[in-house]
This record gives sequence, structure tokens and C-alpha cells, in this order.
Amino acid sequence: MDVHLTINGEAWTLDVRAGELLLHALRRAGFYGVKHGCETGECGACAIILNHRLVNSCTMLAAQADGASIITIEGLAPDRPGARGWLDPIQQAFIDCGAIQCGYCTPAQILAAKALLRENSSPTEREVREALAGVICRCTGYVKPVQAVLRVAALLRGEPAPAFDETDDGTPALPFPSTGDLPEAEEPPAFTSSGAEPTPTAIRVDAPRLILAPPRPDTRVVNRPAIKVDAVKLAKGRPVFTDDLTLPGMLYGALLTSPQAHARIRTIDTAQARALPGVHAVLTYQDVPRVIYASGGQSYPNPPPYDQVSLDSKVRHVGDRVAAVAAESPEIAEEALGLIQVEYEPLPAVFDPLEAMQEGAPVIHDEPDAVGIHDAERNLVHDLHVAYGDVEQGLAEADLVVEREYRVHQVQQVHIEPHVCITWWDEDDRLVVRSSTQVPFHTRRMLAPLVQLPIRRIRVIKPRIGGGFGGKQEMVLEDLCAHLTLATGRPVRMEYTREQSFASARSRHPQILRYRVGANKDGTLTAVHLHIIADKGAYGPHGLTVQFVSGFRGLSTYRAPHLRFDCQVVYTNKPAPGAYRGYGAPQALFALESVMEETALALGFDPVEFKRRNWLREGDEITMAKAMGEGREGFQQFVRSSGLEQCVQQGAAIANWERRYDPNWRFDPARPHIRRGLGFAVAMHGSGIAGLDMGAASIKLNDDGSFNLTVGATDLGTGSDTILAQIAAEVLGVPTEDILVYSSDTDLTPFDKGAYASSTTYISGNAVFKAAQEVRQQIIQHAARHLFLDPDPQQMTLEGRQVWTHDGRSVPLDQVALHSLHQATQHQIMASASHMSYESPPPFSAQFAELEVDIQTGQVTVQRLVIAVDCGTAINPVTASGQVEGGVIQALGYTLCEEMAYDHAGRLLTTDLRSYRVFAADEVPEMPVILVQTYEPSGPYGAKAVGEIPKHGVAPAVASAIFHATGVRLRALPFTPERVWQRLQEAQIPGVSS
Amino acid sequence: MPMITEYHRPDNAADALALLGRTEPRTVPLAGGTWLVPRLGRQVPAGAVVDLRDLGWRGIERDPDTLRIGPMATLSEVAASPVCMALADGILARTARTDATVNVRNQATVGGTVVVAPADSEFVLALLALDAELTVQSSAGGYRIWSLEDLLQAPENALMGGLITQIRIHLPLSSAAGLARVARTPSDHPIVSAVALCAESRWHQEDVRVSGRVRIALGGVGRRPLIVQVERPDQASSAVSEAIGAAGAWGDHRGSDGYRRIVGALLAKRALDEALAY
Repeated sequence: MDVHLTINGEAWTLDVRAGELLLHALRRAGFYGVKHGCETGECGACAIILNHRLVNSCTMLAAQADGASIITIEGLAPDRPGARGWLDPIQQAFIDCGAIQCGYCTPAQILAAKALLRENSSPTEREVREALAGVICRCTGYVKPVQAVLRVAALLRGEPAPAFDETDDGTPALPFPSTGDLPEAEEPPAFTSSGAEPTPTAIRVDAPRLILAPPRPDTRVVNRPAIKVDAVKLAKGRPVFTDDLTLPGMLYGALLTSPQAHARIRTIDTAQARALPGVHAVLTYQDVPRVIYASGGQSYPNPPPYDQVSLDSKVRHVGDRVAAVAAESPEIAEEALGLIQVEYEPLPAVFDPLEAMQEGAPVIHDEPDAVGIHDAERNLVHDLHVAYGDVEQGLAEADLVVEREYRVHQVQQVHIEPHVCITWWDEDDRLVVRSSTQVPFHTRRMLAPLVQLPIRRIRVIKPRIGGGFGGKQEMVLEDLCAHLTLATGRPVRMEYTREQSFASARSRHPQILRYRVGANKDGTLTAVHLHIIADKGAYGPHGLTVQFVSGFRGLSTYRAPHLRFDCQVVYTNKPAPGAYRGYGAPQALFALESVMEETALALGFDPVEFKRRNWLREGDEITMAKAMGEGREGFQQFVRSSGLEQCVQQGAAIANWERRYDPNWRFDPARPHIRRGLGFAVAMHGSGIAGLDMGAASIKLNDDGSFNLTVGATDLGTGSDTILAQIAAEVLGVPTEDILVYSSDTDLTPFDKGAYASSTTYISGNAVFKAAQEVRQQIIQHAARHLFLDPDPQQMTLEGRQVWTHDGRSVPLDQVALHSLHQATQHQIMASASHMSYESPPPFSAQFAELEVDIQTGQVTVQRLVIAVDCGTAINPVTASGQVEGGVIQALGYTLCEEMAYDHAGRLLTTDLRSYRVFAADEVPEMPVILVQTYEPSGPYGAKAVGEIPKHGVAPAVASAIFHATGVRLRALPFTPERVWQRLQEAQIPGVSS
Repeated sequence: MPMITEYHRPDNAADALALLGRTEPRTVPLAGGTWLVPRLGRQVPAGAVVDLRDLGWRGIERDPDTLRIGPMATLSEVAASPVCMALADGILARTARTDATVNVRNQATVGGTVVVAPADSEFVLALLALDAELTVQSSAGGYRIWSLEDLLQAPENALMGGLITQIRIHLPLSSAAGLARVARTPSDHPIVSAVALCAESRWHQEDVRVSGRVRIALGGVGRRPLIVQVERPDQASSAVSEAIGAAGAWGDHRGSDGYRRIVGALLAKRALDEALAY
């Protein structure tokens, strides 16, 4: 049927099917700025403006829109000949404010702002937040998008923009305030005094605000807020994501998943599905080679176990793979799935790791060809034991031993762009895999044996990614998509639904963590023992390394002479957890910080002081680093930079920590059922995996003095392409825009292990630094030889796009380029470099939480989360603070509301973004971010990692604050109203009953 | 994705009802679509939809005695309606906002929300507290008035292939409302919530019922909303307890049945206290 629409001011007639979604019709017409994130209208990535109103196009039939006027992101500032790249003021504000990270939800956010400002030119912050609340952003924590909308509203009203720093060369200013009147590191306000007035908790939104404590490196580009190199194309909604491509003859893949938690496939009949017109392939375990593999995207050789095959005759969780279909339309593919007849032989299932370890429990991996399972009969994937010193001796010598058990749960990454990939044969009979992956190089290597092609015949391309957070450090569907291309010879596109994103993808490992802490009356630790029982779900990816990180992080923040880690990793019939931002650290640090606070209180110490006495300081050895490694050889490491003390001081000042000691502050006379609390936690992470992670970079000089920078590093929206460009620009004396970045293509870029383990700034950044240094030397050498008279190359510098001699003479870089390419000793100035480090310098953070507890309902409302982070030198403070803000809100979801819940048969109850709650823009707390700069000697320009550390401190800080508010200690996440209420009931807190 | 084969958009109720009366293909009404479209072909087996957009039915009007809301009015239109904002401390407008984000409420309709009646819809609770009535046009063309309370007991019997043509609320002389909720996060759909309505004078009489002075609608306790109606606020507590005691067991991963019952009583009281404070 024909549907007549006005799209972005132009008349369109679309031939649509009766049931076709408006989302699909618009994308089919080429409006790729309209994104798919869910199918139920909860994520809002598909939002468009229809007849001046923001609506979701995934819950509307195309036919319903007949006659409507539609605006998509492409219509705000269309690229026209002679006017390419111009921007709507809202797009400009999003770019200026650093409001774009992965950019997948950005078009919808911008359209939400557009619709708001059309009706309300002077929105309050609350109104802006309400307008953005229907578009879930998993990256930003909404801080900068809200600031962007308020800023553009002010500009459009003709009001002066907030004062921003200007760049040195007078280019458009960026929203980056100087330290201003905020506390500097040397003299933080005293936070133990009782006389200070609390800071109002209303969010300051007059200007995007960031606090940088000295020292600030003497740099021109690094440590400054360069605009993201991909910001314009993301703001304009250009087709830059995996699915923004339609190839001729492309088929649509779909996955049939198991309704059974544990079963053998007795029979599987695909005849009807194959006979359906438009179906080109139906694959089951009978159709693909049985090659055992591990799906986690990790360095060679992949850690065991190898317990998966592309398609199996047994299913091990609801949502497990059963069959794959390729058809000419998504509708036909889905219909074909319904025609596959599967007869299952149900097997007993087990969902609790403690039960799964017992004798007689169902054996989940009884296949004979699995490799590397510690004890398959007991469902024991790994049994780990690492000791430093003698824990039993240390505990025996302690004045006090505190034993506590903590439980953490399973949560999902919820990257708004689902897993998606497209595969096709290229003109050289090579398999091209365009995938939303964090690990393109690992994927290529891991995929080759599964599809029985040599690595050289596979090319993996990672375009922009709509978020990953560890979920895409995994080969989730590339092999199936490739099998379908091999079977059909056609391009095939596969994408998960949101339900599959929950039931058939990866998640965070649930754990039971048992601590035994020995301490003396003087507040020193004598021993710490951590025993973890980890729920691995049905398959083993990342099971070894996540748990090692839990053990390492859970035993590293504090000094103790005796340490021990024991861990059992256990199969259950649940969707397999894998990598999720923070890896095993958020689990461990919730327990560690909680048990340290409990130990402090048991000893009669102030928890802050107790932790201070024991936390690692500069010069201390990180003892478990050598003992544990990450499932491989470990290396001795020392803390060479730490701003933790400053983080605590700065954070406490901003958090008004002194209110903790004011009993009156905890009560609200007008609301007697409310208790207020302040909580605190510290965190420590790493920067890459020592002795393992490697990244490489290549830089070449172009005729006009610009540079191509190619890196294997994988920008997930974190801004890594930008900060790598900044590092190169700093070395080469040019602005960031002179660095043309291309990343993550196994054919065209050097190797990088991928985006995980907080490694990109530190590892890939060092590779870029080295390559740039080499190019710099080549430039100087060529200029010294040919373009100056009697220069001293040792004293020559690059600055302002010129090569300078020590006595003030200069030559522009484009002249050097032209001369070296065309005129004398012709050669290409270029260099490549790799970097691997035996160190993994720790970033630190101090997290403060302010909240209210309704003691009658158990509802916890967090009102303020203050975080101070030592990430060394922040290469780009705007992107760094954006990482922190987004990470903190993800962590708050982990703490309060996100939870994968199951019924008795192992079926997920949380398969959409209504049942699985993710924080929205109108409900996040205030989130001041403080970047406490230190200088890490081994990092590029002193940088350390920043991506994962914001995930660690929120849960323990909130637990600490709830304890402060109520006196009740919560040891199991998440702190949902009923769980809190239950504990309050058990504790019989006065006033709990109404 | 929906696998329907027919899409219809009639411009009169008779045609719409005729289409909906077909058994082959199974044909269902389509209002905004925010609930139905993601479920078409899955939870809602259907081969055809009848889009009600061109039937009109989206005005929000009042006379001295009655507020009339067209079933195709969107939740956004309710949220922005001065008439709705003026009634009972704006409880309809307020709950229209809490029920859905702006991009959903721009599309979701009052009629659709009433028919679907999500268990955690505070907008439905507000309508129940206001003792809303619905006019249903049957497939034969006749009209029947249903209280929302009765309709929600057995919507399939009430609708029977017919269509809601109007939502009516008899206006008290003056009124105040309160809302209390518990949820995982501030903007989340509630685990349990209560809307209380107090009228200062007797409500208008209809032939079917006489409304009392206090009505409390409680959601999240039992599978369907509970309604309590008493003459005086001091009667509310025992009436709420009785209603909760009679409710069937129901819980989910967000809250157990026992928790919902205890907190339900508490929230009913808080909602009433808020209404009385006005």
C-alpha cells in the first residue's frame, strides 16, 4: 500500500506492507538516523517528530503515519551541495558540550530537544529532563545532553552564552571552564569542620562544569577539551553504524532460540521453513561444522573453557541458539522461524550455583569434546586458589576477624544498539564482516576456524558502535551470520531483538563473595581472604578472567601481609555472563568496601580513617599482581602515581561530608518516614592487562601537512579516536583536526587487542605517542637536512603546524611534506609503533553518595553522587568526565534497579526496558565530577585509564549511606524497595511500621 | 514485527464496527498503537487492524457537570488540558505524565490505555478514583454506559467487539486528590501506587450509582486495581484493609504479594493524607 508522507519538507510516497513499522519504512527509505534499539517504545532511539510531536517510530505502523509531516535528524541541517556539514544550533550545542558519546541515541535526543524548544523556548532543567526522558542514553548519564539543551535554549533566546575557555588559536570556544572558584588540590576546604554551610544540591546548569585540580601539564592539545573527531557525523545522524547499510541482494538473518532451560534436541524439522518462499537458508546443528570454541574476545590463546559450538544438539538455557534462518525480508525470516519444528527432550535444570556444584546435580556440559572444564561432572568450570603469605596465620594473629558474605546479581549491558552484523563475500572471495564489535581482530581470528576459512580470507570492519560496555567483547552472532553467507552466497544481516539482547547475549557475573578480614586494634590489616562462588551461566566465556579480576581487585586496594583468593566458577542453566564494564571489579569492590567499613566500625574506627591507614600509596607494591595476573603470568607492580588522598579530600568537600556527623540532618521533621544518609567508598582499577595487552598505531604525513592516524583501537563511543588524535597532535605540533583517524579495520589498521580492560588510553595511547615521536623525528630530520641552514636537529621543535629551529626560524609542515614527497630524498614520512606494558597503573576514585530512605516502603532515592577520579592526566577532560558520568549512572542502576530476574523454569522475566529498569534523564541524581590529576610516569602524557573506575564505588557508597541513614547493613544487590524494606523489618528500626 | 495483512482506517464508527465484527481475518482496533503494535502477531494474534484515527473522538470538553474525554485523545493532550489540570489537583494531568514518557504519551490514547489498563497505570487509577464512566458502542450500533470499575472486571464482556466512544467523569463541586507510590526509581512504573480522591460535597447522582466522598484506587495489589469508596476519611483505613484482604495473590520480581499488601495499605493512607492536606 502507498503511504504519503512529508519527510523533512519533501513529499514522499512509500510502498509499505500493512504491518510494516514506520521505523523500518523510514530506514528503508534511507533515513538511517532513525535507530532501532528496542521493539517496545521504551528506549526512544527510534524517535522522530511527527506533526510537531516526538513519537516512537517502532510502535507505529507506517500506514498510521499516512499524511503526516515527519522530521528526522537528517532534516535538521541537510547536507546540500555547498553547504555540507552545516549544523542546526541544537546539533552544535550537543557537539560543543561534549554531549555525544556513542551517538546512537543522539539523533533522538536532538529531536526531543527540537520538539521541546518549539513549544517552550525557556525550558527549566526539569522540563529538559522530562523531554529527554523518553530517550535512554547509556553512555552520558544525561549530564551533558541536558546542559546542551539548556545552552542552546539560551542562545536561541539571544542570551549571552556562558563564558567558556577559549582555545589558543581563537577557534570556537569549548565548554570547558577553568578551575574558577572551585577548590584546588593543594587547599581543599576542611570537611571535618562543623561550621560550613551545605552546598545547595540543585544542579548548576548555567555552564557545563568540570573541576580540574592541578597540576596541569604544559600542553597545547592534550589535557584540553578537543571536539570529538566523530561528533559532526554523529550529530547529523549520518549512516555510520553497522546497520546503516543495505547491500544489493542482502538477506535478513534471524535466530531461533530455545524455550527450554536444558534439553536435547530430539528432532528438528526444517522442511516447512525451507519451503517458505523467500527463505534461502535454514541452518541447524546438522548443517554447520562442529568446532569447539570460546566466544569471549580475548588474546590468543583464548582462556578456557572451549565449550561452545555454533549450533548444538543440546540447549543449555532459555534463549540458547537452536537454528538460524536467512530470508528476503525480516518478516519472512521470522515466519520461517515459526515453521521450524523442534522436539525437545527436557532435562533437569539447575539455576543456583550452590546447587549446581552438588553431587547429583544436572550435568550441563556432558559433551565429550569440550576442553578446559575443571570438573564437568560437578559443573565446576574453574577452581581457583591463589595465596600471598599465609592467611590463616594472619587471621590467627589478628585482634579481630570479621567474616561477611555479600551477594551480587546479574545485570545486562543494555547498549542501545543491539548486537548486529552484516557479512558478505567481496570481489576477491574474501568474507567481509561488518560488525558492532569491541574486538575486531580477535573476532577475525576466532571466526576463521568456525567458518573454516584462513584468517587471510576474512576482513572485520568495525564502524561506529552504539555502545558496548563489554557486551561486544564477544563473538555473539558473527559466526551465525557468516555461516548464512556461506550457505547462501549472499550478504546477510543479523540483529538481535531487545529480548535476545537479554536472553541470548552476555551480562555481568553474579557472585557470592565471602570475606574474612583480620585486623588489629591499631587499625592495621593482618590478613584478607576472599572466597567467591561465581555463577557462570551456561557457557564459560570470560569466566576465568572476570573472576581473577574480582580476586585481584578485591585484594588490592588495601595493604595486608597475608592474602588469599579462592574461587569456584560454576555452570548453571542461565544465559552466560561475560564481560561487562568493570569486569569483575564492581562485584568485588562492593564487597571489599563494605567489609572494610564493617571492620572499621567493629574496631571503633571512622571508616574513612581506617581505609586511609590501609590503602595503597605511591611506592607500595600491588602484591597480588604478580601472584595472580589475569589467568596468565603475573608481573610485579608498584603504585607509581596516586591521587587517592586528594580524591577523598576533594570529594568530601564537594559532598559536604561533615553533615554525616550532624544527627539532625538525618531526619526530616516534615517527613518522619524519611532518613538521610551519606556514604563513602574508594576504588582502584588498572590500565590494561599487564604483559598481555598490545595496541599499535601508524601515522603518515600528507601533502598538506595533515596526518593519517590508523589504529586498531576500537572506539565504542568513549572518545578514544579523539584522545588518540590529541596525543598525536600534541607530539606533532598540530591541532587535532589535522589528525585524520581511521580505526578498527583488520585489513587497513594495525592490530589492537580491542576496547576492554581500561587499556585504550594507556596502551593504544602509548603506541600513538611512540609512532608520533618517530614521525616527528623524520620530519625534523628531513627539514634539518633540506630546509634549514645549519640547524641543530636536537633543538628543533614542532608547533603551530611548523617546524622550528631553536633560533626562531620555521617551515610549515606542508612544505616539509611536499618536499619529502616530491622534491628531495623522496620518501613517505610515516611510522608505526606498538606498545605493551608490564605495568597496569591504577586509577583511583573516591565516591560519595547522598540519599534518602523511606523506612516504611524501603525506597531509596539517591540525590547526589559525588565522584573524584585520579585518571592521571585527563587527555580530554570533557570526554573523561563524560565517561565518569555515564559510568556512575550505570553503576547506580546496578545498585538500585537493574536485575535479570527469572521464573522457576529459567525463563527471563526482564526481557524489555520496562521490566528491566534503566535510569532515565528525569530521575538521575546530581553528579559532580572531579578529576584529580596526577602524572603517571608510564602513561602517555601522564595518563591512566578512566573508563571503568566509575563503576566501582557507587554500590558500596550507597550501602554505606543506607547504613548511615538507618543503621541497617545491606549485603545483597540490588537495593530494591522490598529488599531494603525487608532488612528494615528484620532490624526493627523505630518508625518502620506505619 | 507485525505480520498483519490488512490495515483499515474508516472515517465512521459503523464501518469500523463492521470491520471489527469480522472473524476472518481476526481484526482488532488500533488506537495509538504503543501497546498493540509491538504485540501484533505475537501476544495479539490478528490479521488486520482498524485504525480509529479518523473517527474523531479526541476532544476534551467539560460542561458544568461533566468532563468528557474522547478515547482518541492522547495522554499528552490530557496532560496539557487546562480542564484536566483544574480537576482534583490535576490528578488526571499528573498521572498522564507519570504513566509514560513524552514520546509515548504523544501517541498513546486515553481509550487505548483504558482498554489495556496496565496493572501499574496511575492514569487508570486516577480515572477509577474519579469514578469514570465509558460509553461503549456495540457492534450492533447501540450504546451502553459502563463504569470503568465494572469494565475492568471483564473488559472482553464489556467491549464485545464494540468501541469506547467517550470517557465521562461527573464533576464534584470541589475535590482534592493525592498520589503515593513506590517504585524502583523515581520515574519507574510503580510497584504499588494509590490515588485518593476526596470530594467536599455529594457527587452528582446517576441512575446506576451514587458516589461517596472518598475514593481510593490502589494498583499493584492483586492483579487488578482495587477500589475503595467510603463516606468519610476515617472509614478509609479499614475499608482499604478489607479490600486488600480480599485481593487475589499477585506479585512479580519487583515486589512480592506480601510486600505489595503491606505497602499498599500504607500508600493508600499517604495518598489520602495528601488529598486531605489540600
